[in-house]
Amino acid sequence: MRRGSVIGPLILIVIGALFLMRNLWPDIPLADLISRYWPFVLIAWGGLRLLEIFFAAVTSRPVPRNGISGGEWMLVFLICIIGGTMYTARHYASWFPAGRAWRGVMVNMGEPYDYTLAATEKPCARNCRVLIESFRGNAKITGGNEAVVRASGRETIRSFQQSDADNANKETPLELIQQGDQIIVRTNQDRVSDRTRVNSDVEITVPMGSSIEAHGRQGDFDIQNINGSVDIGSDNAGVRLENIGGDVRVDLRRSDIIRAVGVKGTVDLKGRGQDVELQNIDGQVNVGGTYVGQIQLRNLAQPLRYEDPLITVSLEKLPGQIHMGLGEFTGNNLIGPIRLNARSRDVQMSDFTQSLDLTLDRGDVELRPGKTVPKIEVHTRSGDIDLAVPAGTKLDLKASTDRGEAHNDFGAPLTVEESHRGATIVGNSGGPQVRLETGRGAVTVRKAGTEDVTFPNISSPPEAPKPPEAAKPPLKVERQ
Amino acid sequence: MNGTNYNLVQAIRGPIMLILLGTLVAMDYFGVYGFSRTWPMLIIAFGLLKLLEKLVVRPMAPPHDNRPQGGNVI
Repeated sequence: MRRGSVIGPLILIVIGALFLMRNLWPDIPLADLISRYWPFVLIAWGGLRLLEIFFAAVTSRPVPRNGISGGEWMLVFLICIIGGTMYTARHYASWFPAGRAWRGVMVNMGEPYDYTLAATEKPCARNCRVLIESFRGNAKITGGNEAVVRASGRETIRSFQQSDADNANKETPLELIQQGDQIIVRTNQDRVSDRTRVNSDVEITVPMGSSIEAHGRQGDFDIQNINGSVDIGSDNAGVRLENIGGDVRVDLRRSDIIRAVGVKGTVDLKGRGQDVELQNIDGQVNVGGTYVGQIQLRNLAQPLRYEDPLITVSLEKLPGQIHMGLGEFTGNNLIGPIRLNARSRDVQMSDFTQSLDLTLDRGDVELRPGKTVPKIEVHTRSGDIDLAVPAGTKLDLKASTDRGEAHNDFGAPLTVEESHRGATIVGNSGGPQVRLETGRGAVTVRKAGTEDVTFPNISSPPEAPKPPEAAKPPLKVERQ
Repeated sequence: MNGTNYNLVQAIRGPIMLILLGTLVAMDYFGVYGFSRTWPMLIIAFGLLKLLEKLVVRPMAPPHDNRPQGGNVI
């Protein structure tokens, strides 16, 4: 008869001990340990059984016919399945369907835990370069008078267990690393597993002369009083810049707002987003991307190049302002040569000089040039054109519609010539050449009244930049 | 003695396979070699153990050989 093996009782003892551990020391990450070390149970089992067999052989007791019986193999199979599943679940959370979306759900299901990041500082040249490494959260960067970089902040860690959050907090210190003449600000968020999400709100003070390069995954950048250049790239960010001495480059995959007020250098915007507000920019402004919100441009001292799949604008100088919203363009006090090209856009423009070249697929046009009428060329396939010029202005005008009416409210020397379905207003008293053409719509030329000086519906100047939204106070959970 | 050896080899097959399986999985988890690459070792080990069984048994293989011996006929 076969003597019972010690393995069965041992397995019972081990299972009992594991449950006891869980009850006595709940902090021990038992599930993690089991998921990682269960293969050693198989090894130990096999090893013990081997010892038993040799012992039996040496003491000349009957050796069992099968070292491991069929039922035991079933148990092994079960252990493999459970252990393998636990390991996969623990270590390959990103394998789950829909990757990031699922992770987002997982992460938002956890509790937020709040930690203060230890403040740190490093001396640095007055014109040093500060690199902010890829992180998630909000950064507020301010130029100061001292030649030192200081960083402090707090972080919110979402996790299912406080022990996980505590560990994540230990692994993600806020560090300043000196590398040549540049300082790297590192939040070490990549060190934590996918099951916890770290969000840092960092406040950084840098020497006023430094230049900033920042990469983020999600969160806002709020940068003030920097004399160097600013270079920001992010997957999803709101950017607020104020009083920047150098060039500004912003490349975002998504953004709710980009606001820059007071930039001495050039401004380059790329990517996609909602609102854009640029004000008091001394350098050239290049906007290339898709911005679907409200666009406000004010007081640009150098040329503007705005290229969007829906509208292209270029002009030499903007002492006044431009507002663009969905399907509309309003401009006041622009210095040309102005070129505007759009698919579907209602255009209102007042007080512009040099020359205007306006081409639309569809949209109404209202023009109020200032006292001196520049050379104007307008084409729209479908839409009304309304031109108001001061009384007595000398014009070489030809305004035609292929299908529609022409109204001459300006009077002599302009005359209306009716054609088959359309009409043309012509007149030449010398002066700048004005050509207005619409495929379908009314054409009106009239004397500007006092109410026509500017368009009143341009909203008031923007309020001061808002600081990034403070995170909601996270739930604090006391450990029992 | 050979009968005991035969039993022994047959008995240790299960535990050795179990140890090997545990080792391969542990190696996978600790990033030495992936299980997806090392699993054929299980088959090889099983084959070797079977072979060992045969080797141990062979010397006393024909205990009851009833076939006629050719020499005797002539």
